[in-house]
Amino acid sequence: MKNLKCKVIHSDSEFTESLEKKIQENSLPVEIIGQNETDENYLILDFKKNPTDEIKALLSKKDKETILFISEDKDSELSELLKKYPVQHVLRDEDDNKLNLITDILNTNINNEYWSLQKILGQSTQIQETLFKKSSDVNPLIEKFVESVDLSNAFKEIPTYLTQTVNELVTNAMFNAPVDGDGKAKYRSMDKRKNLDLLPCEYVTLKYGASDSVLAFSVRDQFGSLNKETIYQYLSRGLQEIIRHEDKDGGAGLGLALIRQFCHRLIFNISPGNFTEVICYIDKMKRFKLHQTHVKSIHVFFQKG
Amino acid sequence: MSEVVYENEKLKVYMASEGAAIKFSFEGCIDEDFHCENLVGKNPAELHIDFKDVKVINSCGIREWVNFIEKLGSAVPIKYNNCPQIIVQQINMVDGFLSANANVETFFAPYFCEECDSEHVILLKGSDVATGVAPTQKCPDCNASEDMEFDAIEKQYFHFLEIKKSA
Repeated sequence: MKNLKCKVIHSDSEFTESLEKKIQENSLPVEIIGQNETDENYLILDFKKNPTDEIKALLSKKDKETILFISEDKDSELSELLKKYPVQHVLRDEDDNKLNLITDILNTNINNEYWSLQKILGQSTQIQETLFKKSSDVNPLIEKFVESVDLSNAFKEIPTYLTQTVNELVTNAMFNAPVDGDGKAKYRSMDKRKNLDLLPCEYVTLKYGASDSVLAFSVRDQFGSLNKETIYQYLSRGLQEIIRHEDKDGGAGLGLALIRQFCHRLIFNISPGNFTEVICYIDKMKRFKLHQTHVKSIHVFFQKG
Repeated sequence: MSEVVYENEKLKVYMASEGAAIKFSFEGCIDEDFHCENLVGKNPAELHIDFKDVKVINSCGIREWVNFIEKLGSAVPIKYNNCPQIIVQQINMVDGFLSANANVETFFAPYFCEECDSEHVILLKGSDVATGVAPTQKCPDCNASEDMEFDAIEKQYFHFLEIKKSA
């Protein structure tokens, strides 16, 4: 366990007080420090409160984790920020659960852990698992997965979006994650129309679970080859309103844009050299419009050495 | 009469004549396996594309689609018909998915009936949405007196119509 120092710059004057209370309730070893102090480990920023230049100055300080509150209509500004500045957690002011989320994030950081699927869904939820060993299995196994998921209380089109999202994640984990001993991508430039048989150390795992109100799944590779720069570059591109197809070979960012539109919480757990796990969390909604307007967040957990 | 002009394990494309125009009907999954070579070079007076039976399109499929549309060139007018929600999403999000010489003639839109708590996808014409507002629709199941509610964000869902207007 470690102690964290947290600096909060938020437009809502009551926010810091509520957060402090929540931290105390959870007995977290976190100290909220004053505005003039500079030795914080965590920055909680509010885009409304900080002009962009000020945010950039704060974000450019190394060795700090950041939680940024920004409204969804500012996605293009967020996209610009992420091109240069890592923001580990993007939350929305409208998120009713924001204080719980922040304490969860702080607690996870204190314990140098990740957000697991089981933790997100609760211990009582049963988690299913599917292993992808070759690319020709991708579509039939995803079809089986979608058939098996409890889609009650969700809008009709959800199987299509689910298929699309899992397909993007699994294909990416198969073709882009495996690297050789020199760290070079093994299959990235391979013609994706040809079958790819993975080695056991390259298998991709899909886990999933659902309750009446929530559906979540994760896709995990065994490499953790996604570096910080790449992930933020993808996120930045995925947040653009119109995706331009300048990268005709990779399509980087487009897959993520599709995933992001569908998922309410998008979580990246990255242990460099070990694994990358992407968790997609969806609050089931019977109406498509509610699904689309429901609050969304992004979280990146990088394991520290 | 239609004939299969392209086929892989996950996708079939049928071609039919419609006067001087030709129609391609896509059925299945548009992904990295989609080759467009058989579909270009037909040089019709007009090209109609029917998306009704497209089940999935992934990011590699979107890339192949943009390449396909580029290869068709800008001379032939293209009409997109029966676009499901997932295709409308790509049209709105991906630059080049709908080229300057292409128009969406018909597309599906989500509606919800509060009365009988049911979802419906209704086929709309681009011309039905002249002011960016979803046209009213009655529930086909319960015939409630109240109109169904449009079940997406109009500004987002009909974005492609605004782009075309301003082009």
